[in-house]
Amino acid sequence: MGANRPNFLGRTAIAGVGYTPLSRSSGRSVLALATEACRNALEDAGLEPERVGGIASFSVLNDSVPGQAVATALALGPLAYVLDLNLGGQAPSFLVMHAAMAVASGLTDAVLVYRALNGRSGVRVGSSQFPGPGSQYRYPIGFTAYPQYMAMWARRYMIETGAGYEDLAAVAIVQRRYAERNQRAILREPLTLDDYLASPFVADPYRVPDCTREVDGACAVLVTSLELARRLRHSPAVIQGAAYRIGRRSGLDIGDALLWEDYSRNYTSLLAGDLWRSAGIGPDQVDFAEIYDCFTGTVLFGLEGLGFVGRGEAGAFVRSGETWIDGRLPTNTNGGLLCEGYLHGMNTVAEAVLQLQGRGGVRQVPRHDACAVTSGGMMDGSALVLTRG
Amino acid sequence: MMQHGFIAPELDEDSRAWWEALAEHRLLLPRCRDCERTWFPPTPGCPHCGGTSVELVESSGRGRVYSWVVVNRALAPAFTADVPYTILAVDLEEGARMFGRLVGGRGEALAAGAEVRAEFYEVEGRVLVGFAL
Repeated sequence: MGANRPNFLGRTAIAGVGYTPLSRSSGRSVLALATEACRNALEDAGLEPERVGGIASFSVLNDSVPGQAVATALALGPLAYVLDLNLGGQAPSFLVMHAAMAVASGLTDAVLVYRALNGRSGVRVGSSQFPGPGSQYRYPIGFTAYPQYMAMWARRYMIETGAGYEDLAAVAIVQRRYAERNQRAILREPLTLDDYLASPFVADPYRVPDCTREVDGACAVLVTSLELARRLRHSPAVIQGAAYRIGRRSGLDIGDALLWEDYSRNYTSLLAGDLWRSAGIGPDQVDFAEIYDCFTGTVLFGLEGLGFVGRGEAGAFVRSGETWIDGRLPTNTNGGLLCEGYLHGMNTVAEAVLQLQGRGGVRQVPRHDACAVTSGGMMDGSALVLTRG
Repeated sequence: MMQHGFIAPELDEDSRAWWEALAEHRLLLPRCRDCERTWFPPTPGCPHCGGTSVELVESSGRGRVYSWVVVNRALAPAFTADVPYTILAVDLEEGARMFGRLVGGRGEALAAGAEVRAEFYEVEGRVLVGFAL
């Protein structure tokens, strides 16, 4: 969008990642989860807590705790930068951008970015009602939840491209194969095409395996200057490219798509040009991708939107194995939100960092010099290009 | 296919006139006097050109199916007795998109581009609009 390369790119990095275990019932406070994930990210990077100058997070329907509380529990501070956003899956890459801007501007050298929630035992976003001016046109008729909204988009995509259930299935199946290699994943049992087709519909065209698994847990990443990251434990994941976009007529609230023209394309189509321009590389130069997958369809949207494949080609790309570990573009290598669990895409960013740093273990992708990450599924979202420092 | 479940809409000052007309079985759409485009839902300004001179015009109720979803699992308790049911995204001929229940029979003829017409029905004292093939 701007004429020049944003000045935080190439000078900032993700230096560490932290997780809590993911579960269906943590039995712990969200504050305890957030604090543990942030502490783990600091220990992972090898940075002393007193070096942290900022903290950033996001929440939906008041399902998390503010950065202030986490900073208090971690004995951080004084801080120069605190940001609490009221957003969903659009936020993780966007927050990393924000943190990197705070670092590049000189406000601070290190910012923790986290997402923490009891997303299964507490507020369940997938079946919650979202207030907002657009809600009065969908709730009265029983159009009430995200799986239904996203299924409406998936259906239109299928209409326009000729994609079928087997294309959605391919995404669920390959990601389950990755999850078999990921001890953190909440869903690790093998999934066959027969299993997929035998599973019940939630909102046709989406069946149960097309939908993310809500979990309790937290994930954090540490954003620092590249200079500082180079002195820390792991090789930096350099923030080379970044973009956020909300399209025109994006609606009246985060569940409202009435004015959105094309349900077969999401924000990835709109930000791709800026993302690659800002990174100085194109989709052909990326080794793997972590694409936000609240539902299987958003993976197809993202592969096409970012230009990894042409229009309507994503299903065949996935079915032919190109997103598996030995394919052209290993994708969602932790099993994605579908299988690892729904930390609203913060774990999507963290997986990219682990893979870039060569810490993917049994699911490590063979080439890991550059990757793309996306955050969000519908009208707005954000994306990063990260490279191995 | 009857709708049983219901969640009451939270009206606001931008939508009140639309809901009041719906209660009289009239489907209104906001239209911009500057760019002459029509849209849905009602907004204080024109989302196409930013114009501020907005009128409400009556829709023919005729449109075509843009997309649809079959709700097989109720994700709000109010609609447990309704499943399965179909929500259509309909492009009205005036140029606005709406969501509505597929009402009446002939669900087997559902396809992209299929012609539909608005049908009004009442649930818990509130008039809603659905679409029939």
